[in-house]
Amino acid sequence: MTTDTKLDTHGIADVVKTVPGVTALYSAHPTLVTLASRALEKTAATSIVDGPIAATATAIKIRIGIDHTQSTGEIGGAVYLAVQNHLHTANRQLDQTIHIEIASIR
Amino acid sequence: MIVPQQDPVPLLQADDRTLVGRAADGDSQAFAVIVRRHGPVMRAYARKLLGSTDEVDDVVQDTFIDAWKRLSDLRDAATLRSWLMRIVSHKSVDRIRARRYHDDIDQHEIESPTATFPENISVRRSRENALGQVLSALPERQRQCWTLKEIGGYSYDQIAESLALPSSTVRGLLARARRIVTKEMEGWE
Amino acid sequence: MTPPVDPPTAPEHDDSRLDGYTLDQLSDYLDVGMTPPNPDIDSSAACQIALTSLRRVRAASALLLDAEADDESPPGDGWVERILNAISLDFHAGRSIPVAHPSPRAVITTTEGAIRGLIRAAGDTVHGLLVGRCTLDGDITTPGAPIRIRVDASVFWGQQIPKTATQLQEAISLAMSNQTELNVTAIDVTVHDIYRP
Repeated sequence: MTTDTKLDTHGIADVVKTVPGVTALYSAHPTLVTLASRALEKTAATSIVDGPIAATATAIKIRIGIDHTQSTGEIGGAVYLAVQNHLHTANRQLDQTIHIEIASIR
Repeated sequence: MIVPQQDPVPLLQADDRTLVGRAADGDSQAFAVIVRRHGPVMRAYARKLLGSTDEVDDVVQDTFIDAWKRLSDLRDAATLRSWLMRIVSHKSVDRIRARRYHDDIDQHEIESPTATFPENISVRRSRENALGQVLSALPERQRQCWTLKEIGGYSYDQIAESLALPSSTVRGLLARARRIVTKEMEGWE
Repeated sequence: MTPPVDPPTAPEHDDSRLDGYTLDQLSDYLDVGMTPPNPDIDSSAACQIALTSLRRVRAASALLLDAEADDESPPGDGWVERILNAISLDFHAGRSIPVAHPSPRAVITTTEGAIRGLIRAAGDTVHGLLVGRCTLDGDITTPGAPIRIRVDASVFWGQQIPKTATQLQEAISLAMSNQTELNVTAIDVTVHDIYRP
């Protein structure tokens, strides 16, 4: 694992939590992610599971719960934007795919 | 950050079918109602098999954790209680068999050749409570066999297999338990 | 004709007999509903007394656990919470439903379990009704595929079923169109009455 691929996942988690409509942030531990994401694990050269955000060289995985009064598209988009802005501010390479799974709607 | 989504009272009053449907779909609040509703009777049953130990808490807890995973297997929600009780039975007899290693069945019977009952068994209003007292005074092996047969609905062979005892031993234990229980319950109409 | 019972108990155990029958055999006779009838047992006073006792005990056993459950001391602190914690990350997620986004680097999905939660939340807005099991029929993993929603619901005693069911359909339809991208073509509601004293 080199510093180039290391990501500040705690920073990402903090940013996700502040998005309106996000009511929970779940662990994206590999055994709990959906099948599509699991396939990506095999292609990762390095892998970091640090706190609730799972990050590999190619993907960042976020698993959230949302409020039932908002649309999945809107919140999903808002979370994506927030994470992109955070990475941009932190001067990171912006080539990871960002996976956002809405696991609960209450 | 969990926001209560509705007045919980309706959920408390929901029937098992609704609760099972919601819980199978992922509603843990509905499952919590199931745990509180059926937990006590499951603990009472486990207690008859295991005695009053911490294992009662563990066995019923494990049962619920298993049940959560397997709820979609439950075809008819009306059978929820007996389904849960079957899981409690399996986990309880697993624990009993694990204890078996240090347990000498003959020693057990020699130590308690006849069940003795305190002179001042308090007169309970309810026949059921009297039966409960009688059962709790039985030697452990007799109570386990009796409970599995009369409450768990196990056959003689199933009891023998579950407790890793010979069939003839199970018969003998049940015969004694029945004799004691029917004698002690004679006064109750 | 003797009832179909197993061999008598082993000699070292007490096998006092009532007119030739052990308590064990009488219990087995009771187990098979006393059929085919055994005239020896049926005509024996001692056996009949014993059978009455056995029946009495059996009736008491059926009610015993419920009675004891009432007296059951509550489990230690946190017992229920421990169960809920242990299950909390098992979401019963189901299939993965794609959510559209213009950027090729965004992969947004929602789970079938989350959508069922949304349907339950819609049901919570309908007075006197509780949504139970929900099923999404159709290929939800393909955007735009027609989806049929089936819902099992219970209404509290006194509610008008047709009116309440319609309110539920409308609430679900609204939630699905406002908040998801699923192409819902039908919402089937099955209502069963419940009465809780």
